[in-house]
Parts: sequence; C-alpha cells; structure tokens
Amino acid sequence: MNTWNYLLRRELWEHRSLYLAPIVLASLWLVSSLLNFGHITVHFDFIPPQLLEGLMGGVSVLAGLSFLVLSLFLVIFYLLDALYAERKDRSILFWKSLPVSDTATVGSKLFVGVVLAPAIALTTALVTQLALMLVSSVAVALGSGPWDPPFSPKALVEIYGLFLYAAVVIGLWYMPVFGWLLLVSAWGKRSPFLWAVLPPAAIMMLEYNIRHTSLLADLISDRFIGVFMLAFDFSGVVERHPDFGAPVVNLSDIATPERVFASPGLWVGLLVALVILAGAVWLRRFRDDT
Amino acid sequence: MSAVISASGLTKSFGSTRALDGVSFEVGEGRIVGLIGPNGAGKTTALKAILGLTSFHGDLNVLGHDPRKDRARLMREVCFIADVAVLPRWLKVNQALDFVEAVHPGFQRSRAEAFLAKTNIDSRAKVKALSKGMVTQLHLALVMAIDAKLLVLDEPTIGLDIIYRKDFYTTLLNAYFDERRTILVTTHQVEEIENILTDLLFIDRGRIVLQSTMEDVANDYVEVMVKPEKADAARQYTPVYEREVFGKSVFLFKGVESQALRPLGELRTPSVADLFVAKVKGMAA
Repeated sequence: MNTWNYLLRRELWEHRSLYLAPIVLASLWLVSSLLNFGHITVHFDFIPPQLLEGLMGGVSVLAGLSFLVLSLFLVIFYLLDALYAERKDRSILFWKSLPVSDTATVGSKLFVGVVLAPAIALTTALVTQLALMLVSSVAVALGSGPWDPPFSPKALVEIYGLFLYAAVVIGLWYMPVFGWLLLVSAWGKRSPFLWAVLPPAAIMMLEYNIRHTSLLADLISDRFIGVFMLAFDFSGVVERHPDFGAPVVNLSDIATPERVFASPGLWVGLLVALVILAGAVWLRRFRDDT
Repeated sequence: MSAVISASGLTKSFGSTRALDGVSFEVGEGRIVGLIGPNGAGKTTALKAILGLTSFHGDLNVLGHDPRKDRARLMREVCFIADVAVLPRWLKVNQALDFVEAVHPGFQRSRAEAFLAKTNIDSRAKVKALSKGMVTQLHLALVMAIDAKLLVLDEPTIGLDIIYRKDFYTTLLNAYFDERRTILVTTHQVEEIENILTDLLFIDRGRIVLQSTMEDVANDYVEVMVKPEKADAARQYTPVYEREVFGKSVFLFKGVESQALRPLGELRTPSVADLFVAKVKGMAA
C-alpha cells in the first residue's frame, strides 16, 4: 500500500504540470472574472439581472469545459511521457534496481493518467466554478441589484454528477487509446507523439490507396466518437421542453449507462486495452536500450 | 561456501555477434569479484542477465531466483549501481530517501542519512543541482543503507574525479562490506580495485578466459623480468606471455616452480592488468 502510495507521488513529483496547470488555469479564470465582472456590472448596470444570470452561467460552463480540454491534453502528454522519460534520462535502471514490479509501475502510471490527473482537474474545476459564482453574485449584487445565481446547489450537484459519469464512461471507452499511448511511450526511441500518430495514419492511407476501404479509420473514429452516442440521450430533454426554455438538466434523463455497459464495443475495447497494456509491461520488463 | 550466483551456458546474441557465448561461472558468498574485460566483451550483458534486465539462454541462479522470472523479488536482495548519471534530475534528495524507504523493505533510512551527513549534500536539493561526485555519493548512500546480499557495480566510478573514486571504494569496504555480502564489480580502472578484490573473472569475446581467486593467481602466476641474454633460457619454461619493457623481456609463467625461475631475474606477482593483457592477447595468438 505504501509502495503504491509512493509510486503515485513519484509521478506527481516528476510531472508537476498535472496539478500546476489546473491551478494556473483556475487563477486565470478568477483573475479575469474579478477584472471583468466588476467592469460589466458597474458600466452596464442597465442590463437586466436575468440576462446577466445567463451570461454568468455561460461563463461558468465555459470555465468547466476549459478544464475538460486541459485535462485531455494533460493526460495525453502525460501518458506519452510516462514510460519514455525514464528511458530518455536513463533513470530507468535506478527505478529497476528497486523491488517494484514492472506491472505495478505501469499500473501506477495508468492510474495517474486515467484517474488521478482527471480527478485533480475536475476538482479544481469545481472549486473554480464555485468561486466564479461567488464573484459574479457579489458583482451583480453591487451593480444591478440582487439576483439568483445561475445554478442552484442542486443543479450544480447534477452537473458534476454528469461530469463524473462522463469521465468514468469515456475513460473506460477510451482505455485502448490510453493503453496505446503508454505502449508507444514504452517503445519509441524518440518522439513518442509521432510514433503514436504516424503509424496509424500511414496504415489508414495505405489501406485507402490499396483496398479503397477505410476500416481502420472507421474503427478509430468510432472509438473516439461512439461513446457519446451510447452514453447520452438528449431526446427526452428536448421533448419535455418544446419551447426551449432553460432545460432542466436531469442526470437520470440523459445518462444512459445501461446502453454503454451492454455494448460489446466497451468490453472488446477493455480486452484490447488489457493486451496493449500487457505489451507495455513486457516492453518495460525486457526492452534494453540503456 | 554457498554460491550467490551460479551461471551455466549463458548465451546471448545481438544479431550475428555473440555477446555471451556459453558463459559459466560461480560467485560465492562474501567475495568481491572483479568482472574484467575489454569493451564489448560481454561484461555489461552478463551483469544485465544477473539483474534480470535482459533475456538470455542458459541457466542462471541468483540467490535462488531465476532473474528472468522474478526481478522485483530479486531486487529485495540485490542492489546495483549501473552508471553515475542514472538518478533522475528532477528528484530531490529527501524524495529519493522517502521513495526508497517506502518501496524497499530492507532500507534503513538512518544509515543513509548518517552517510549523507558526512557529505555536502543538501537534503532539499534536486539531483540536477548536485555535482557528478555528489550524485554518486547520494546513490551510494541509498545503496549502502539497503541490507542486500549482492551488490552489483557496473563502472561505478566512471567520469569521477580521482578523489571521489578513492573515496568510493574506501567507503564501500569500510562501511558496507562484510562476510555475508557479495560484491560484483566491473571497471576499466583495474588498478583501483585490484587491492580489494578476492576473485577475478576475465571475460573476452563472450567467453570466460579466467576464473580464479586472487590467492591462486599469486600462487600460479609469476612474472620475471629477464635480461636479453637470458631470454632464450626463459623461453624454455614455456611462458604464457612475453612483453618488452625498457629493452628487457618480461615473461609470465603459469605453474612453474619459482626455484627454477629465480636465476633468470627478479620474480613478482603480475598485476591484474598485466595478467589480463597476457590472457586476452595470449588467447588471440
């Protein structure tokens, strides 16, 4: 347990961007909101509070999305670096001189990339949104007068429930992609990013030129997009709000986990991920380029 | 004497070159063994096989383990320093202590701290802020605080100042080594470790060309510096190797009575370096 704990810490010592980048992004949102909300409410106090509400709500959602995009980039580049950096700086022999199995090491890196890093980003996002709402409430109260915050606490819980659900489902669905990034990271002599992207692209082009089919391209695009069709069903929301009033986000209405877990695509993907990850462990165990 | 390492028929090829060509040897408990060979002789490959870092053919038993199967388990009892620059640059000194303490059941933090206290290393410093000598001291402090049965050192002092190099081996002998431990070391600087070795293993082109204790070397081999006029007389005793120094011939004999050789010139035990050259060049001839 202590070993696992320190394997995770080790990753955060090395990859400080996993927590520093979300903190920087949060500070940017907070600083700009402090500067702008004050400005808007003082100079545009003729704007009705309802409109401001919508504006602030939009800003808050945008802030949340920015953390999602950031965590996607952080995870991709972390996983590409995770097994590459230790070979590049030749510290791998030091790590391997300690009684930690290659499975545990690769497992800790996968866990950091797929669970810990997104959790850090989402937690920072939540704190940022709460802070943004506090700032905007105060600002609006000083300008146009008292108003209702864009999201009730209940709505906020639901939104984050939905975020969490999306993160879990997408994380599981993307597992072969994450595994592929780790495999390339354990394999490439240099520039793992190109190794991750170019071979599939080359095979796609070959396939298209020789057989005039796009099986691999379809497979990959399905892996990237397919989960969204399965995991969410917005039809109920639209039906219940034909006049397009502010949709009441109800987690149970749009989340369809049963469709995801009944899909063979998920389980086949997890199986493929397992094989790919076993390959990454094998490479770390026996790859000898020191 | 129980064997800490026993290898038999180790073979490993890279393409058409045989890095290890049926290597067999044994290392007993409490020995300090020098694995000596020219570049590309298979030293590092042999060490990597012992440490479970590479695949190979043949039988290899290290402290009862097959290194191919159970590397993580083996590393509880085996330590190694593969080169000086292997500690990651971003690691802080106290993080290194924290990490090794957490993952290694045989690590005694107080021992490492006591050793570091004698150096100029700041526990908050990152590895990248340390000099090369300090990094080695840190690595050595970590390794010496581990209660391991076998310590493997692959060119541990390469790129170090002479002061650090002396220090390295002195510390190792005084603060670490005892009869329960075994050390296997490779180096280009044979002279540096000559006095601390108990055993020699010479390897050349993937084969073991000599396996002997230092005592047996002193008993079996003798070097005689002979004036030119007595050179032919010396050759009668079928020397293993002959070389020229300042116009005199130096002959290396194996298993020849010293009584017989004494009239030829002054006798002495060959240095490891000279013995090595004789062995490797003698084989080639």
